[in-house]
Parts: sequence; C-alpha cells; structure tokens
Amino acid sequence: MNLTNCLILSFILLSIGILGVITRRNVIGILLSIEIMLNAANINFIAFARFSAHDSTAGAIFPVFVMAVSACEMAVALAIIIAMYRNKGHLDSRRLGELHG
Amino acid sequence: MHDLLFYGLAGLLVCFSTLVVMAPNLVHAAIALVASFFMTAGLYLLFEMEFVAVAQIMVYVGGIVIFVIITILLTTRLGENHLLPPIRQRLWGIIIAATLLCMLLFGTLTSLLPIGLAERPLPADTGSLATVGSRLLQPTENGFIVPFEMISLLLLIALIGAVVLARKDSANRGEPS
Amino acid sequence: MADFALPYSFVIALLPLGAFLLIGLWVGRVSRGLTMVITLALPGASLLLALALAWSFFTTVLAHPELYPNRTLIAAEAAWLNFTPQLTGSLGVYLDPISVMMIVVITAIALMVNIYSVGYMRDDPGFGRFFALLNLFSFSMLGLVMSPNLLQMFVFWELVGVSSYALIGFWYQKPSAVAASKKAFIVTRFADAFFLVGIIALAFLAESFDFLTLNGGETAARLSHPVQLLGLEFNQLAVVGLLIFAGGWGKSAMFPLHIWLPDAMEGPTPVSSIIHSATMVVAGVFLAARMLPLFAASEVVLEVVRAVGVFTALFAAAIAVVQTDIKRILAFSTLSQLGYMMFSLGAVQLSGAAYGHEGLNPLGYSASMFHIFTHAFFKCLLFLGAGAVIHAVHSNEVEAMGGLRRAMPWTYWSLLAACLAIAGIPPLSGFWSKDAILLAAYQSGHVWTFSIGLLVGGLTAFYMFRFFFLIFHGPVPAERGVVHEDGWMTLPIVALAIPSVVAGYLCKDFFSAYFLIPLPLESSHLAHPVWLPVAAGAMGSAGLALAWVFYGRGDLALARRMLHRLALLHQLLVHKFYIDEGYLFLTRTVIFSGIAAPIKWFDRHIVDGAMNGVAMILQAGALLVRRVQNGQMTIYLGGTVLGIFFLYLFGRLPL
Repeated sequence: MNLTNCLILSFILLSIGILGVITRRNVIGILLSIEIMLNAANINFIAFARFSAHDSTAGAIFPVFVMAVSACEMAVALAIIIAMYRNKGHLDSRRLGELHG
Repeated sequence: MHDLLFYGLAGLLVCFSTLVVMAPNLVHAAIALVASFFMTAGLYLLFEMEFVAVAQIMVYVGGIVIFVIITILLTTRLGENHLLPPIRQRLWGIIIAATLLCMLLFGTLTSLLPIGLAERPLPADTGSLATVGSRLLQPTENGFIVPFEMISLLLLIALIGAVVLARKDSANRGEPS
Repeated sequence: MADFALPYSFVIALLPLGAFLLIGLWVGRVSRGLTMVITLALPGASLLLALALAWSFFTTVLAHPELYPNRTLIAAEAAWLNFTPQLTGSLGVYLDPISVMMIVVITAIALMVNIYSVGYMRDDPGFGRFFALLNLFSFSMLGLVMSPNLLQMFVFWELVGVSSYALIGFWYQKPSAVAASKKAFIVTRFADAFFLVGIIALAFLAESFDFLTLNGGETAARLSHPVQLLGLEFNQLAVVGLLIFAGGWGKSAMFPLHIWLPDAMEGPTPVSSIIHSATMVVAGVFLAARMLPLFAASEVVLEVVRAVGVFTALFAAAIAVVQTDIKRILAFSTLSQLGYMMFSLGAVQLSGAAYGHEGLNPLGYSASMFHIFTHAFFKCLLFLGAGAVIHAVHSNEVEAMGGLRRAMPWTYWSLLAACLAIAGIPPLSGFWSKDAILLAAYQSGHVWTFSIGLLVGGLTAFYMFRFFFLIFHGPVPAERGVVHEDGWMTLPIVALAIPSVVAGYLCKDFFSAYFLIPLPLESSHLAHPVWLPVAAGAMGSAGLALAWVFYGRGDLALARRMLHRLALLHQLLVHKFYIDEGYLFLTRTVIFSGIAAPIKWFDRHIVDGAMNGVAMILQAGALLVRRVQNGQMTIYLGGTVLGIFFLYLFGRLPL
C-alpha cells in the first residue's frame, strides 16, 4: 500500500467512469458514472494527503468540498432530468441531442 | 494486514464500479454505487481519515444515492426495455477508456515512481472530526472558512434551482409525450 | 478706406455658396419667388463686392509697386492641412491682377446668367435645383481663382468638375444629357489624374504648394535636375510642368481632350454659357497662366502649350465652319478661342532666345488674360442669344432658323455686336485682344503660330457670320409660331453687349501695363509693326465678306455648290475629323475587347474561381466538422481523451 497503488486505483476508477459516460444511454446512468469519476478524484486527494502532503488535514478537507459540489450538481442535474422526462417522456441521450450544431 | 485490506477493498471497489457502469438495470447500478461508496469509505478509514469516511457515507449514500434511486424509480416505467448501448459505442468506449488508462498508467509508472512513498505515521487526529471541523471554520489564513461559506451558498443556490427546475409549472408545462 | 474690401474678399465666394445652400436645402423646394430673389440678390451682392474689391486692389496694390513687388496680396489665409512642418496646405485668398480680373468676370457673368435663367428656366420643374447648382458652380470657380496654393486649387478644380457634371446632366431624363455629363466628367477626370500626380510630384520636389514659392525663381532652379523616363532624359521641371498642364489641358478641352465640350451642349443653354465664358474651360487657361512663371523656366512646357493651343485653334475653327447645330458652332468657336489663349501663353517664349527667364515676352501673358476678359463677355452673350433663339423656335438646327431679325430686334443687335467682337472687327473688344495675341506671337518670332493665328481669325469671322446670317437673315421657314423676346432673357443679352463693344478699347492699356508675369523681368523692347492690326482687321473683314457672299444674301445656292464640290472635306469636318469615332474604336475595340475582356475573364474565372474554391473547401470542411457536433457524449469525450493523449505525446517528444 503506497501512493502509486492508490493512484493506479484512482486511474482505473476514472477510466471506468469514462467508459460509463460513453456507453450509458440513460442520462441517469451517465450521472452515476460521473459520480465514479469524482470518487476517483477524491481517492487521489486522500492518497496524496495520506502519503505525501505536508498538511494532511487540508487534504482531508478537499474531498468535503468535492462532495458538496457533487451534491449540488446532482441536485440540479436530477431536477433537469425530471423536467426533461416530463417534457420528452424518455431519457435516451442519443435522442436528446437538441443543442448540437 | 493493511496491504491485504487495501487490495481487497480496492478490488471490490473496481468490481462494484464496473457494475455501476455496466449493469443493464439502473437500480442495480445505483445499489452497486452504494456498495462502491462503502468500499471507498473503508479505504478512507484505512487511511485514517475518519471525517471524510463518515461524510462520504452520509452525503453520498445517505443523500445523493437515495435521491438518484428515487429519480430512477420516478422515470422508469415497468416493462420498459433498458437503453442498451450498441456494440459500436461500447467498443469505442472501451478503446477510449483503455487509451486513457494506458496513458495515465504509463505516465505514472515512468515519472511518478520516485514519489511512490511508502506508508508513514500520521499524527493521531489528522483526519478526525475535531481537527477537520476546526480547520474548516478557522478564520485565519490556514482556515477554510471562506470556501466553506461559499459552498453553503452554492448549495443553497443549487437547492433553489433544483426546486425551480423540477417544479410542475402549470402555465408553462409542455405536453408529456 | 480704399482697401476695405480686401480683407473681406472671401465673402465674394461665400455669397454664391450661401445661395447654393439656401436654395438647395430649403428654398428651392418651397418657393419659386423666393428662389428668384435669392439667386439674384446674393450673386448681385457678390458682383458689387467684386467691383469694390477690384477698385481696392487697383488703388492699393497696383498703386504701390514698392510695397507689393509682385503685385500680389494674400488677403486671407488659414492653415488647413499640415503635412510636414515645411509642407502646409492652406485655404486663403490670393489676389493678383489676374485673379481679381477673373473674380470680376465670374461674378458679372454669373449674375447675368442668373438673370437670364430666371426667364429661360421659368417652366422647368427643376427650377430650384438649377439655381442651386448654378450658384455652386460659380462658388467653385471663385474658390479656384482665389486659390493661393495648388491644393486649394485642386479641391475647387474638382468642385467645378462635379458641379459642371450635375449641370450638363441637368435634364437627366434625356439619355444623351446623361451620356454627355459622364463624358465631360470622365474626360476631365482623366486629365485631372495627371494634374494630381503633378501636384504631388511638385509638392514633393519643391516642398510647397504655394504659388508664391513655386513661382519664385528658387523652385525652378531646384527642379532643374534631369530625370530618366522611358529611356529618355527629361528635366524634372518639364515633367512636373507637363503633368500639371495636363489638368488644364483636359479642363480647357484642348485637342485631343476636346471631345467633351461639344457634347456638353446637352445642358441647358445658360449652363453652356457660363461654362464657356467664365468658368470651367477658362480654368485650364487660368491654371497655365497661374503656373506660367514656373513653366517659363522650361522650354518644353511652353512649346507644348503653344503647339496644343495653336493646333486646337485651327482644328476647332475648321470644324465650326460646317456645323449646323448653333450651340455646336459656338462650342467649337470656344475651343478655337481657348486655343488662342493657350498659344498666347506659350508665345511668352521668344523663339530662338536663350531659354530661361531672360528671353520672355510679357505681352503673351497679358494678351492671353485680355482675351479671357473680352471673350467672357461676348461668348456669354453669344450663348445667351443662341439660347434665346432656341427658346423662341424650339430647335437647335439652323434649318429651323432664318429671318429672325424682325421678331427679335434686341437679340439681333446684341448678337451682331458679339459676332463683330469675336470676328475681330475694329474697334470692338475682340479685335484688341486678338491683335495683342497675334502681336505677341509675331514679336516672339513664332512665324507659324502667327500665321495660323491670323488665318484662324479669318475663319472665325466666317463661321461666326455664317451662324449670324443663318439665324437672322434669309427666308423664314414656313412652319413657325409666334416668336417673341422674353424680358428676363433680353436684359442680360443687352447688358452684355455693352462690354462686348467697349471693353477692349477701354482696357487695352490697363492690361498691358499691369498684367505682367510676376517675375523680376525687365520688359524687352520689341518690334510693334503697324501693319499687324491692319492685317488682323482685314482678315476678319474678309471672313465677314465671304460669309455674306455665301450665306448673307438670302440665297444658299452658292454655298451648296461649294459644299458639293468639297464634299470629302465637308464630310470630314461634319464628323469632326472622326475623333469621337476614333476614341470609340480605341475604347470599344482596343481597351474593352483587347484589354478589359481578358482581364474580366481572368477575374471571373481565376480570381473569383480561387475565392469560390476556397469558400467551397471551407464549406465542405465545415460540413465535415459539423458532423462532430452531434450532441453525442461519445464523440465529445472521445475527442477530449484523444486530445489529452496527443498533448501527452507532444509532452514526451524529445524537443
């Protein structure tokens, strides 16, 4: 258990998140994948705080902010999803490309 | 002992995350996400970051994922086939993710190895509730009072925005199709 | 108190400008009566002020040669454009004998034409527009003759051009009028391009626009370096002088740029009158006179001025003999008289004398100015009379005229005076000025110039009296309504007859005494043969007599027989030596088909093709790129990851 292991873990999680964002068709699924990516970032923060940082407490505080931001994002995104579902009747991201050029 | 725990937790985390991404049923994916958050919290505990671990469970598992599950249930009709991606899209996803992973791993393993530091002893209360809480609210230059307050403001705005967006607007509502 | 008018001389020019603005912007559309009042009052005031100015000028400046060595006064000057500390373009009023003379002539003619036009344009729907433009025209010409420097002169030069364009094309419903106005504008613009190049070159070499500096001896000395051009060696002064003279060449309609002037007859007759007498065409001669001290330092320029002038005089007089449109006869007569003025300026150069400021004959300069002065009155009168006749019989052709003597007695006697004057019959005004010109040419030793001048004097008398007899004598055509004279139109005709008769005799000593080249020059004592005025008068009388024989007796049979015998020459003259056809061939066949068409093809296919090709490639690329913006997360994220990957690879490059 050292920093490199933790980093490799977070990279794997990030790649899984990317894979999810690309392959998921349901918008909620995409959101879940984004959560995984954020989780990977949090693991990175904690790992650096644990193994390398001068001020470990600060490293422990950052994930709190990330969580708060992701909570905001989730709240707004889910609200949008509900509104979208109400208007469109589906959540297929392949059929929602209304803002493309 | 610690190493074993770490590898175990990490392996489970990767498995559950893969499940989150791949599970055809979104409810299953959400439950797998809960499991993966638990694993993450375990990792945090392993790293002696109690406060983050607790916050992880409370915020994510207790708040966000419940919200997600409710949304899933709200927006999924019974008997509806799941939106499965075509093979081509899945293939592209795997290629892109693999490319990214290879790149990151290669970069890390070749250049970051020197700081692949081993475990080191931390002061006992580095990640404890008391320490983190007092740092968060400290108004000195080491404190995080300003970002903390801004986050609270952001949360408030998001809350109001979410309510406004999701509200059933009787005047402006489009026809549900 | 004698010089009170001098500081306010610029007001003379501003009054017509005020009339232009008032009528053009407001009154012209509101009230015909008020337009009439303004167009008579302001130019009238301008004429009074001009007369006061002339009085002031001749009593102060000319009476005190010790104070004003060059007889020149800059009455007002305001810096306008500072190009460099040395080179400043200013606006101002430059008074010397010729500009004062021109100011008086222009204001007088402008007033007469304004009075006349009140009658002539009475029923025209463009009444207000006409008077606005007419006043703009006289304003531009006044500004031109007042210019203290080339820059201001060029500004007003172009203003004269544009207002003449608007006036020639006044009846813009007529395609021929539009074509004529375009022709006048384009031909003079063509010459003005050379003029502008000349101004720039001169300003660059002499570092000044001011006539005082340019006409001083230093500039001529400064420009004496030789330059290589087209493998030939030229004097800088000659090149610059010819470029500047080219401007006057076009404006004064010298051969071969004369083609616009006959066509300019498409404008209303008062416009032709003012163009031919006081404005526009005289501007070219005025420019040459203004720059003459500089030109005089180069033999080439003066040779060109003289040659162009004398050729145009003969050429135009020959064409005038056979024209049947009375306005065209007058137009070619103007060309011929302008030729006189030009070659008189060129005749300043003594033949065979050592070149430079020593061998100059000041008579050429003063005679040219004298002829401008007298010509303005009688030519204006001729045009106004022709206009009155046209107004009465509604035709320009001589066939429709004839026997008008009884119906239009005032016009008849006034035109008789004008024709006698232009024919050079003593003692009317034209005789004195033409005599002075011939004398100058003779004194300077240009035998050919002198002989052609004398011959053209006879031709002038012939074609003018052909014009006169065909209009007023002979049988009355059968179908003609009641002809009467219009009061507004007859008044200026009669008024102009007076100076046409007496101006020459009264002013001849005045001109030879004061209208000298502004150079420190000791007037040389040259021969003054007694037989010369006699010969000139005899030539004029001979021409008159010949015209009587052919056209005056009421029997045109002899004239017809002569024309039949000389049919070839007649055809050549009627078609004006086919100059217009030649230009048409040159522009149509050579320039349009030979040069413009390939360029057009190149432009359409190569230049535009390249542009269209670029646009098409971009469009195709855009269509391709647009595919990417399809709202699919896969593509966006994949692109991001690939971008990061490439950045990473770039970072790994061993640079």
